[in-house]
Amino acid sequence: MKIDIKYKPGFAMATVTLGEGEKIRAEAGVMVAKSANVEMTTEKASRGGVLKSLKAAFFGGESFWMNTFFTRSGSGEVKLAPTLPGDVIGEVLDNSTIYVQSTGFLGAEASIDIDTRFQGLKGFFSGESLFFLKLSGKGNVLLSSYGGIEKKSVNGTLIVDTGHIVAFEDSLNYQIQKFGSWKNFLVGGEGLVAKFSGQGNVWIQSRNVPQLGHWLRESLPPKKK
Amino acid sequence: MKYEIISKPDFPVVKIILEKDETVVAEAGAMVSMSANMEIETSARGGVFGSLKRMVFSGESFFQNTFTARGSSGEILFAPETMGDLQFRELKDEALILSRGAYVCGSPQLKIDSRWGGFKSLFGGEGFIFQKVEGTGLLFFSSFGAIDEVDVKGEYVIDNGHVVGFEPSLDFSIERVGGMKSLLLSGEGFVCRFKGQGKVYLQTRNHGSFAVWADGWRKVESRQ
Repeated sequence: MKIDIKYKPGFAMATVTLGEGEKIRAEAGVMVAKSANVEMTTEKASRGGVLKSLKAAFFGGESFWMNTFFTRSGSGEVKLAPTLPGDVIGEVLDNSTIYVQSTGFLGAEASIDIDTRFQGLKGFFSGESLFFLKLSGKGNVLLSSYGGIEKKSVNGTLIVDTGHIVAFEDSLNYQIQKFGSWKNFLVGGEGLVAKFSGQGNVWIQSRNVPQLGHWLRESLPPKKK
Repeated sequence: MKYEIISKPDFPVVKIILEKDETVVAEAGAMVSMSANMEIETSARGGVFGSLKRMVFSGESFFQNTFTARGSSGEILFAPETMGDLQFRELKDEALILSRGAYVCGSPQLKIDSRWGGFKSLFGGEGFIFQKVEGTGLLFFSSFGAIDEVDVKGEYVIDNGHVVGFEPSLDFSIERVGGMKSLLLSGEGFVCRFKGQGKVYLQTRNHGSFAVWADGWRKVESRQ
């Protein structure tokens, strides 16, 4: 599987070249283009855990479906891009586990397991529409960010505003803390930070998803139920 | 006419340098700044019917502005409406099919046919309309996201919301992607299948997806 990411960091897109027998899974709606010989099947992402209580807000009205792209013979390409302006980064898991914030997951090789019973680390966010996916195994993972993405290696402690977390390795310990009343006031209800400790990588994004969400919430008219 | 595209690909603007009495046409509202000697004519370009057609069928505004440098050369900056890229193409007695709202500015001698592809492109489900730009001159068009070029040799499939433009040598058909289950659940809308040989410009973000994502954050009105 070859992954080529262009147009960083503002409007990045990943071009995945699939060899025979290789499969990549991506959340519903992220396919930009594909060569004619790439086929697509759709499966329910999970039957339990966090994805069971998925709100329409995350998948934008469609339900929590994953698409799998593959070729029957020969190689083919599929281009994947996230919804928000921002970056895309490819990582390789080597029998390891990472937690990926819901809007930060773009795609993963079919060999990567997406834990279906995981409850989502909801404590990170004060609303229901953001949560974490648990990815583990061996293979390629595509992460996307709102804004630019930075991979930080933690050796000790690091405090990160939860709206700026894209993903983190499960080797890290974390503690959710309130950041103080001034931030609550500004951001309107968030102001939660994660204090990571130990050793491992944290991927952070230069813009804040809940902040964008709240701004949209305040700017757009309410909708009927 | 000379040009310079500044700060590609995230939030570019195009600087057009006109010689004395030279003219550039642009979408109403695209002008960022200009030298003082520019003469502007706001017109319903193509006449009232031409403009109506353009507005109704291709999402361009009713008015276009014609800028002419008077007395000496002049400079004018244009920016697209959306967050994204600005692409330049010099047409040499040829045509390019552009997606709705992509046209930013160009040479006045380019002809724009606002309703092209007719019935085929109306069946897009996403208000999917093309326009044909034809002739000889400079053309600047924009996208939501970055612009990626694909040279099609054979067959290629692009999600409708991601098509910016393509060469008319390509054949295209609009369809849903995947099998029956995928049809309803996959989150993919309509796709455009291109056949033949030619270049396609695609954009790396999708207005429809963003709008749906944004919609998910709206407050739900509680019944009184």
